[in-house]
Amino acid sequence: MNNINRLNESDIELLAKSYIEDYFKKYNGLNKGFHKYISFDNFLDILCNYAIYERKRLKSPVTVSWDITANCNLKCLHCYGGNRHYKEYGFELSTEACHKVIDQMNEANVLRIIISGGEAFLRKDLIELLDHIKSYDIGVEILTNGTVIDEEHLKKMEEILRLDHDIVQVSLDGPSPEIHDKQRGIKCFNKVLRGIKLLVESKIITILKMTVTNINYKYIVETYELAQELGVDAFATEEVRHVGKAKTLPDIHDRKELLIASLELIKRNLEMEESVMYINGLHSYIFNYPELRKYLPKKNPPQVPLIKCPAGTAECKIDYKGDVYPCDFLHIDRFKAGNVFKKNLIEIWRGNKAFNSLRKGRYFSKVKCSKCEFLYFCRGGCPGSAYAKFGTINAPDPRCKYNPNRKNHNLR
Amino acid sequence: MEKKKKFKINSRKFIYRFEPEIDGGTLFIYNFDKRNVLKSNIIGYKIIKSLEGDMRVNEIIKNITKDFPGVEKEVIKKDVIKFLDDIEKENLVYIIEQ
Repeated sequence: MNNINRLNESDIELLAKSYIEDYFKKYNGLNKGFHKYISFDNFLDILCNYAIYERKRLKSPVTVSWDITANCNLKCLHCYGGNRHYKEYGFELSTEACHKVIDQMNEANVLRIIISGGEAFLRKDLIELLDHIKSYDIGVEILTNGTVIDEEHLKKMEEILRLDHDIVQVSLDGPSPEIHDKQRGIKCFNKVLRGIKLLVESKIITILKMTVTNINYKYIVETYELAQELGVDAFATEEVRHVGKAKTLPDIHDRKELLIASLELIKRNLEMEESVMYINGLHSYIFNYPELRKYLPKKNPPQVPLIKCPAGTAECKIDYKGDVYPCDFLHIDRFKAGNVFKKNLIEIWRGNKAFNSLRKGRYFSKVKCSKCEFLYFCRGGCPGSAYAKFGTINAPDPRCKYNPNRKNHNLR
Repeated sequence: MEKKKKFKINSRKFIYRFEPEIDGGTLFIYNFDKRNVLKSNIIGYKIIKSLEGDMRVNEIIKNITKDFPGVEKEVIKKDVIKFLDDIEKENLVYIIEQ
């Protein structure tokens, strides 16, 4: 980690400050997207913000995360699906049933569908489903582990997808087979690289996503460098949420290293125009680093989309059975809102107790968030992570290490 | 703008969504080419839906006037023409018949 050692603590402060200022500046005007595929996201953000910040009820979800299959060919240690995918392996809706789900999403005026699984590319009719979605011109983001993408897929996808904003996001959890495969549970690194290279050769926007865990947190910069070498459009990181199988993963203790790595990538983005864009950067990390919160405005905070949870207010999830939940991380019976084959998606969205509990806002009176001056900023973080750890959404995201009663938070 | 004009939607150029509960009904339009967002109201939404239904400008004005019986036809006509002008300038629609 030579690159990381280049930064000292004053560098960190400087970068954090400049990044936060820059971030506020950029996002204050929501329409001013700073990259081609962020622009469409910003449009979706505008709608989400009405739901999240102004508590307006949207007529239907803006974005739907749709698991098109339970099947997966990997055994990731951090899978939020837990053992669900193994128990229900082989379960897929028929092509005809999937078409009905797509029709419902179109009727509901969904603007973007995030296609996930399992592994989406294991479905033999994926291209047919994409074709149907794009006939309605709904935006598409495909989440994949990258292992089974082939030339035939990409040739057809290039014709079907909108190359200015549809996205394929590939998971890459390390710069080497040792690291990536350890987290993914199966030897697959070379297959993933092959898939990424094919995507880069195509015209489809390709983002690499690294889920940061105790296994790979020391390799963020090296993984970014690999992304740069591969020539993808963007590189994103997100600290693992301890939901599903990830419940058993230990916390990342050396948070300073994690923070410095993300700041190093921000620095490279600021300094080098040709660098691969680093997204989901500090704005998600500030949340996890009490040390950085001092740079946030305490008075008159701008209404910008920093940390927000659209689950149940602007987004929802449809699983491979047609069951509807607020999101991937609240895929539990208590939050099941209905099934699209028994009730229309719009009806499910409108009148549901599980969703309403998220819409009315979380109740933090008994937890540290109630005393926190930055609650406006994070809104308590991920309710799914809170539920997994504390059995209630009315608790802080367990990744938050900030203690509002403590005066000094120095980098550990 | 001639009332008998007919417009066709450049559907690949934009995406829209109407939210009835935001500010009394708000239409959001995202222009893919210009990468900007346009906001309008229920009139804008009804115009877009009418254009999808292949209507001429005079038919659109007539239908919207029916929907808003308390509003003078001239006011609606002005609003419709202004909205069509705006979205034509944005290249979201084009004239197919004069």
